[in-house]
Amino acid sequence: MSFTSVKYIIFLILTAALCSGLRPRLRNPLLLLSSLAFYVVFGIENLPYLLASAVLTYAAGRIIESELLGKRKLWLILALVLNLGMLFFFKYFNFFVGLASQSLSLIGAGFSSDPLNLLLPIGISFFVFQTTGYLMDVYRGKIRAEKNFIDYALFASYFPGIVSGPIQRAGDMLPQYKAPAKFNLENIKAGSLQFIWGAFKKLVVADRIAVLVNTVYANPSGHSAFQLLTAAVCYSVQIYCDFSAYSDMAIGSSRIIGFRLMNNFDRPYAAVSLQDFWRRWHISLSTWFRDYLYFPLGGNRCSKARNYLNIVIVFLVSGLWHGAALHFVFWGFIHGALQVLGKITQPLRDKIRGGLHISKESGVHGFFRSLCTFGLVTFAWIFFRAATLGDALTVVGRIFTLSAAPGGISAFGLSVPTLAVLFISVLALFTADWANSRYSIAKKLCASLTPRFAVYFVLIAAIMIFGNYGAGFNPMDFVYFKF
Amino acid sequence: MKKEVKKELFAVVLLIALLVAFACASSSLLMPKRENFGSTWGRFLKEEKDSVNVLFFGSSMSYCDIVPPVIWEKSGLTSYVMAGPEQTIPITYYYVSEALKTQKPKALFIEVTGVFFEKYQNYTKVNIGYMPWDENRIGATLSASESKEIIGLLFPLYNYHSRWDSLEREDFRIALKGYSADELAGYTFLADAKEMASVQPRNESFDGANYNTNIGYLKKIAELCEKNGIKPVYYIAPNYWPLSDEHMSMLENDIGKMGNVRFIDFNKDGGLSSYDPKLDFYDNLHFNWRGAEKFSDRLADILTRQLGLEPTVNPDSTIWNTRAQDFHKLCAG
Repeated sequence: MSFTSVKYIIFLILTAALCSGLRPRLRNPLLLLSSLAFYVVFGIENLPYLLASAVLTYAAGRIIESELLGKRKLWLILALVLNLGMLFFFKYFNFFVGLASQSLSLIGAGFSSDPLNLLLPIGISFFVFQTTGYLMDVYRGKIRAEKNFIDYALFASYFPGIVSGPIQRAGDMLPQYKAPAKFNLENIKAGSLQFIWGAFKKLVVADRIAVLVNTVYANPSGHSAFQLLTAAVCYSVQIYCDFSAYSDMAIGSSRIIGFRLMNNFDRPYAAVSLQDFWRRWHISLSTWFRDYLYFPLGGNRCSKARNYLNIVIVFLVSGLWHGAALHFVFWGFIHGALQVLGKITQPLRDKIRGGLHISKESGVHGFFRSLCTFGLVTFAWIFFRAATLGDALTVVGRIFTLSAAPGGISAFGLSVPTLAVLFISVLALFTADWANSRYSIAKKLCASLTPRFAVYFVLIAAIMIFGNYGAGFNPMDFVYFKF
Repeated sequence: MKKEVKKELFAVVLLIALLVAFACASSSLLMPKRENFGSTWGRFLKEEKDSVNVLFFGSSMSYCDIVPPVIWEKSGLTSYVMAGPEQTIPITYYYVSEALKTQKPKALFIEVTGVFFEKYQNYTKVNIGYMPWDENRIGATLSASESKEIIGLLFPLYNYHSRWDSLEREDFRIALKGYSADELAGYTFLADAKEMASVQPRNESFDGANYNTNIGYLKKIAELCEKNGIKPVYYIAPNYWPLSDEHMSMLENDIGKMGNVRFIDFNKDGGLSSYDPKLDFYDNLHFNWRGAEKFSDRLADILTRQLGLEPTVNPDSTIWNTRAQDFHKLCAG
């Protein structure tokens, strides 16, 4: 059930209406049932894995906190191995077996093995990380282990974030589930606005621009450097619009029901460095890696070399988290390596800037840094988007050798008017993002009736005419759905 | 708080109303304009109220085979073809019901090959999508269309919103000013001729339940005619791809039970002999203009001699004479 379907909107309105004003004792079981029903729509065969993760981490949390059986660390490790092992097995088993086979064949010891026909439970990367985060927090004493299984199962399976996040923290969500429910009009206003804004980004921008990107990436060697570069830049826009749209719709849905989810994006392409980019992109995942992987590895409280290694490890794992394929790993490696390179060259760059008398605070310098960061991120996205590592290298190779190919903009698979509307929509989107961060437009809109409804009207009307839906359209899943 | 909630609810209602108005306006602009090949409701509704003596319904075998201007020339009777491509009988029922809102014909002809069509044919979207927004359209949508078509029929932008980048001047003109009256009164002019070698049996499949449903709808049409004092004629148009004799006799028998309905099989008794197999056909199911002219001439004869119809309404001769001239101009190439 896609967030952009009429079915989902009806489901959301019904769930919000049923839960409205109910006491937590009644509301939470109802919301849990709704969440499980939502999840089951993707296939009932997924459900046991979600429940297994919830039951396992709930029980482990209680055991770790109670210290009844002693050896807290051992229980933690055991629970983590089982929980993360489930993710590893379903998502990575075939990948690593294939990789081992290929590697061993290089020394003449290769083996052939048919990949196992494994189910990849929907949202497993998200709910396993969410429940793992809970266990770590309990172990560290940051939160108390949850006693009420219904509330905990709701935390593990809450429908707005179950498929593609944001990855929530138990410390944020569980207290909200316990708080008395009150009808809150502000939540409905803000949630609706964010939901409709997300739908606009997804249906008008992301899915339309995806046609261009898919056309070019389907045949990289048949396209020119200009076409490939355009597609690479467009993919940067597409993935932002697509994933931030999902997050907006998830956060908006949850807000309508009455719960606040963690913000997942903060104008990532305004970032002035890759480090800054990761503070603004998929915030719930990057903070998860920071708290539960980077810090335990030693973070930056160690030697420089070790710190650099930690950074690369975190990004390699992040790449792998996105998909069991070498091009994802390579994408992660690029981010890690570029960050390390940035740290190493920082003194030199500071020296050059000082020599040129360029102020660190100047707008032009900031813009230049944002542009460079966008260029690096776009370069890395090529490896993320390409079907294989070989395709990615073809794209990069053809861009840097300025390869020619026929077609011009007609090779993008979109009409000129569509490209014009796309351009205007993207411009409107980034302007709105900027204006919202500078002038808190969303808050101001929520405080005023007429302008807010005018915005609703314009966005819905734009979706009606320019949206990617209906007969003849291929409804595209959200990009992060497959992770 | 309560006041604020009321304000919000009012704004939501207003927003929905504005969005519905926007959807209607943009649908009328974005829907492909339909001026021939049936389902031309926009043009039919331009006919003066109660000005048509005879109405023809059915599938393409009606709008390609019957030339109302020829019937006018031969009989002085005004007529109109309000058929649709591959139209199924349930949809025809709603067409009849809708057409009778603005016209009071003396006779009503239905080409009934559609009784043996599949339950859902290829052009449901066209057949229902151009009907006026009222109970007949809703009835046809809910009872005569596949479930996957319903959303597009209730919300036409679902099917047509992507046309925004291919709009032409004509789309804006018709959206703003509406359709003009049809110069051929529902007939679609076909110029090409294809030689017919021999009659090919249709070997149609038979779905008993669907057949009974269709007969049920034909009965409902007959009842509607009786209620409105209209003479119903159910017929099979001349063609080179006929239904099996077994099915024809079954159909004739079932229509015979309806009492007030006259049934004519124009393929019977050497019906095709009046037509030139080299020059009169567009394909094995449809006449071109030559065949259509001959068939319309024959229909005019049936209307006046067999059904005894006389033009009781005072027709606008100027319009109908112009229509006849338009048809002859097209024939002259």
